[in-house]
Amino acid sequence: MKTSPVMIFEYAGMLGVPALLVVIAILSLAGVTGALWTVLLSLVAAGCAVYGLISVRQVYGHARRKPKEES
Amino acid sequence: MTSRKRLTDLRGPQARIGRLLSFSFEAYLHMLTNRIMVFLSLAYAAFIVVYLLVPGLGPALKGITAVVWVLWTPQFFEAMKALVLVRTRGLAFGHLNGEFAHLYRKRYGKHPGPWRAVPFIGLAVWVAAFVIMLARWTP
Repeated sequence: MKTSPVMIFEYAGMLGVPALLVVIAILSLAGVTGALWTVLLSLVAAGCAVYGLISVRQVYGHARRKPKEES
Repeated sequence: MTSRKRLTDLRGPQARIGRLLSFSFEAYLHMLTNRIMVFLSLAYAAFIVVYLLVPGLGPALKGITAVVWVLWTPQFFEAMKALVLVRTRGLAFGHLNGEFAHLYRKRYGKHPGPWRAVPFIGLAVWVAAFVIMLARWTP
């Protein structure tokens, strides 16, 4: 795999989304609903979108990009 | 002169993840679920937006969350292992030769022992939260 500066966001999503899901599970014990719920789910959606988009780029785009011509 | 980094080695092209199966099932499982999650995470993000806009999709959200949770497990576990590997300079979960590892410990005074437990503690929390989510979460 080729590395890329944006991979840090892929790893942030890879760890951040599970962390948010764990928080949601723990808050479900306390019966939390309302605005906090919406915010947490929105963050999960944003994390998943970032993780998915960067992964698509990594797996299907970035690695297959032609390198620059060397002079 | 044009040079192209070849994304292949003695084990075959890197895009063919099935090559991993013969020597590392863990790596294969990670890459297989990664390939699925690439698209499923985008679908999950879109579904959450739909859920927030359209009422009555709670059970479906719980179902897709359970699937995402299971498929995300290898990503989460391997990411934690990678961070521990970096933190311990390859002494935990690395494949350093014995002599080199000894010199590294001598140089940096670092023992990876406690760090080895971190991914497994994280995994235990992850599984416990999954059970709680199934039992108590009613979106």
